[in-house]
Amino acid sequence: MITFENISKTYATGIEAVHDVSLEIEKGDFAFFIGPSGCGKSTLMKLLLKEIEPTVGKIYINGKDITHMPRKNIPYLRRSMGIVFQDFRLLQDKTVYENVAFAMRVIEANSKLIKKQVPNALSLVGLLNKANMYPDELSGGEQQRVAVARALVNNPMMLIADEPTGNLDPDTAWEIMSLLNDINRRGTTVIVATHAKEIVDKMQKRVIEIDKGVIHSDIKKGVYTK
Amino acid sequence: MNFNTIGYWILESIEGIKKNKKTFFIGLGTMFFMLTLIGGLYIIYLNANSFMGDVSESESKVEIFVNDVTEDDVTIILSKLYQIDGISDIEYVTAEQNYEDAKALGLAEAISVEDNAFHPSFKLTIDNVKNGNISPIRNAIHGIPELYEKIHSEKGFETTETVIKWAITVRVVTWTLLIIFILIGCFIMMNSIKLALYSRRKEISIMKYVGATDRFTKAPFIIEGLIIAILAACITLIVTRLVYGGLAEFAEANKMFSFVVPVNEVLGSMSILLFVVAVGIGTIGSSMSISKYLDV
Ligand SMILES: Nc1ncnc2c1ncn2[C@@H]1O[C@H](COP(=O)(O)OP(=O)(O)O)[C@@H](O)[C@H]1O
Ligand SMILES: [Mg+2]
Repeated sequence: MITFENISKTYATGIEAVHDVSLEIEKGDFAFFIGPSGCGKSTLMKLLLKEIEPTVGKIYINGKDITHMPRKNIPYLRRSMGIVFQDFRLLQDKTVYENVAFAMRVIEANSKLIKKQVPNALSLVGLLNKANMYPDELSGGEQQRVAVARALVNNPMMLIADEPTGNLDPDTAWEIMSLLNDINRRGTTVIVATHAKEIVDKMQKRVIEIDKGVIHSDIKKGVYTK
Repeated sequence: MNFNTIGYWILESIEGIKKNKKTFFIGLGTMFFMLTLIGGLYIIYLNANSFMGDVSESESKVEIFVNDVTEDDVTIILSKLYQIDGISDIEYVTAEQNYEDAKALGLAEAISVEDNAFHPSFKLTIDNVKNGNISPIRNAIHGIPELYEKIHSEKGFETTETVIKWAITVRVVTWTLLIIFILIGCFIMMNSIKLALYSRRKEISIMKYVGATDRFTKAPFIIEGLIIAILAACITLIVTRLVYGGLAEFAEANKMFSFVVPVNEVLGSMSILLFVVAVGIGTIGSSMSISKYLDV
């Protein structure tokens, strides 16, 4: 479903964050990007999100070349991707419900659909009972669940999570990762960048290890080697 | 785009305004100040025109009185006048006719003072005088020897030239200031919207990631700009009605400055001007801000 073909990315500063990366992620895969800070994980995700363009190489999604897709089409590509960040990025002045509904409103979904999908997404992450609370009334783990619900509410093909457990304690981190696993079982492709060694080892998923912008290893049921 | 979307945009812009009342009021205040300057300029412009009278800026009537001319002279002069570009109408008036006309107007005293009425004349209508056409045409007329040596007096050239000069000056100054004010207005609007964008950057970044289109993301900010500009225009008009209305009525009641344009005549065209300018500034200023500061 996702193909990176000899991708290199050099930033305007001259730093080559990613060097000649080729990889393929199939529909329904669960893949970890692991490696030390600064190795290029976020850069790979930004390339996929079309936040940045590769300097060299091509990116395909479902066989379609998106390497230099016109800017005006990028929003529609992003609707097929749910995104979760380390810092949750919830809107503090909106309730849990409103935060999730926001993702539908801004892509002009009709209100009937919003009323149907938002509770679905919230019950999937186990927060339907907290729909009317505000983010600052929730724990970190709960906030990240809201972010996951928001990422899923538009039924994306894939979920991209950049260090989703970076701000969470190990138990909560594990809960979030299990949630992502559940979501993957329901058919969504999941890509996670992480440092969380224990979790990666325990999950027994595909592990793509990156070192200084190059793929160091790519193992089907991998563990964190370093 | 559907009704929901437009409703959402308007709600979002109102939300944005509520969240940043201070910025909003600063934007509104400065925009009001700019529009007041523009409105004031327009009022001065209207009154200046009114003061200069009804001299049409597109054509002007001049009259050249001549000493005794023969019928042959008249034929030659007329044919040469017809060859000059920019003169749209030519009429030869005999001395008798001028005398009768003057008498009919009851200008008996005038006749005794000014002896124009005893002379035949050529009445000319000159086109496009606002383009500064008048001097070259006058020179061309003077270039007809049969006419030049017979000229007794001329009427209309100087006044037309002066008034046109003033009218042009007033217009140039007005337009220059108007453009400067509009540019300052756009700059103020850019800054207001820049602050609005800054205060909502998190929302914008989320919108970008969930796949909102550029158009959708930008619209609330343009609407916010329009709200500021249109509100400011309304306030400016109300203040104009009160302040200028009061002054104009005072002038009228006291029979001072008869050229003062009544407030109702001013408000009609001024509201169109201010709304057009406000909508322009609101749209352009906020769009410039968005394209400069919003990396969607
Ligand atoms: N916008 C940017 N401009 C310049 N250099 C960047 C930018 N983003 C990341 N980098 C650099 O690229 C390298 C990879 O960064 P990143 O992809 O964020 O790594 P990771 O997510 O694995 O920590 C780092 O050296 C980082 O400093
Ligand atoms: Mg990173």
